[in-house]
Order: sequence, then structure tokens, then C-alpha cells
Amino acid sequence: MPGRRTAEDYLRSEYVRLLPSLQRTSTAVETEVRHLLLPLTIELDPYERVIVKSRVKDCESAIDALRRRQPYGLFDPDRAEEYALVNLPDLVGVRVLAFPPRRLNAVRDALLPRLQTWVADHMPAASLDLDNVGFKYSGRWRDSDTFRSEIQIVSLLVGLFWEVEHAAVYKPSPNLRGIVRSVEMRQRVAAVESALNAFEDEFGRILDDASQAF
Amino acid sequence: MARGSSKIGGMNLKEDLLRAAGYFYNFDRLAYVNTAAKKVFAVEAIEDHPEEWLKRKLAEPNTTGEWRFYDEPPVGVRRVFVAELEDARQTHR
Repeated sequence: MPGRRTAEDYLRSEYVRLLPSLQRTSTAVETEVRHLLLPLTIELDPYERVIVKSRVKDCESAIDALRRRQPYGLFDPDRAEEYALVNLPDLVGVRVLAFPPRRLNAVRDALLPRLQTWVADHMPAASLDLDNVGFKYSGRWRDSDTFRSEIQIVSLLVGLFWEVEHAAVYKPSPNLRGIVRSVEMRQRVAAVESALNAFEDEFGRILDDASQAF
Repeated sequence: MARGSSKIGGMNLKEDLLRAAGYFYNFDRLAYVNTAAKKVFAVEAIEDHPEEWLKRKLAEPNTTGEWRFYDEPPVGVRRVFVAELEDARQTHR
């Protein structure tokens, strides 16, 4: 007699059903974002960067993300069939990385008309000394999408740091999954974000001074 | 790509209180656990309540012989988590 299906079993089935739509939407979002940013990107100075990256959350990452949102990071085996990956805000994700940070607002202004009905959930800095470190919006890219996509607009340095941090903490070592919530680790993350922010602020100040000198 | 860091505020003192009371952090369960006292504090509960609340709850004796949770999880989650905790207790004996 087969065993009882777990929440993970139900969620893997859901993922397989969703995957073709996720891939189509990922391509569509990235392409449209690049198109909307074209007037900005073709006028960048040589030292400036606007980078667009997209990804479809992989199956196990999506299940892990949903699990981490549950009490004590566990699916309730008595409600295994009630969980749904479409409740995640970022099955499809596009991240726009900008340097220097003064380009962040320009990127956001270019994308905002397309995101009128999306929900803003900007990313707080880990440090109390900093405001948001990036802009984040989630919503349905197409009316027919049954899932939400997410667009992040973040400074290049902070975004690249997050990539390293995420890869180190989540990917190779499942037993480190909760480390990001530990106080010690969050203090270190706050210190790195503050340092990167200070670098970007100073770089921006020098650029402003230089532009006024000519 | 999810990113939901929250600000660190007032957690240092709470962390010190928990460590001093013999709790260790369970990365997978996002909770502080004291296997001797059989008490579990969810990170959310620690963050949501003031330091005084934590001091009171740390001082509460647990004489039931059962695991005590702050916050109380759903029945099924409690069953799975308690099984893990009991396994860990057996392993460390």
C-alpha cells in the first residue's frame, strides 16, 4: 500500500504543471524589462552598469522557500494538500543591478508604468543606519498567469554580495538554511551592506563634484 | 531571489539572555531550544515581544514533562518537531 503523500509530493506535482508557464513568463519579463530600459542603457557612461538577470526558481528552492514561511519551518503533515507554490511572490524573478546607485531611481522610473498594479515590498537594510537597499515589486506579468513574478532593483555591489551570500548559505549546505536569521550573521550582513553603501555614496559624491567642475 | 532581511533591533540582549539560560539556536527550525528545560522559543516570538516578556517566559518552570513552545505550533507541526527534538535528546545522551 503506497504511503501517504507529503506536502513536498503535492508541491512537486504543482511545480511540474507550472514550469512551462514559468519559463515563458521569465523570458517575457526579462525581454520587456530590457526593452523598457533601453533608452537608459544606451546612454550609460563607460563606468556605469545596468545589468538585467532573470531566473525561474528551481523546484526544491521553491519548496524550501515555502517551508521556511511555515511555523518552525515545517509543513503540517495533517494539511499536506493545502500548500501551494503559487503563494510565493517570486517563482519568476528579475533583478536589475545598477551602478552607481543614482541609476536606481532612473531604472525604477522607467519600469514603474509597467508595474502600476504590482505590490511594492521594498527591501529593508539589515542595518538600522540604512534605509531600503533596493526596490521590490511583485505581481502578475500577464493576466493569465496563475503565479506572481518579482522585479528587484538594487545597487550592483549589494546585489552581487547577495548572490555570494545566498549561494554560500542556501545552495551547498541545507543545514545552514536558517543561518541568515541568526543574530550574529545578520550583524555581519548589516556591516557589509553599510560598507558597500558607504563606498557607493562616496563614489556618487565624487561624480557629482566632477560634474560640477566641468 | 527572495530577500527579506529585517532590521536588527534589540536582539543582542535577548540573544544574551537566551544563551545565558542554556538555549541554542536551531537553524532549521528558526528557534531557540533548551533540551534540558524542554522549552522552545520561535524567533518570531522573540522578535515580537519585549525583553521583559522573554525574561518572564525564561523564568517559567516547565514541570509538565512535555515540550513547551513559545509560539504554540499546529498539532501536526508540533508532532514532527517534538519527534526531532526527542531524537536529538536520545542522540546526545
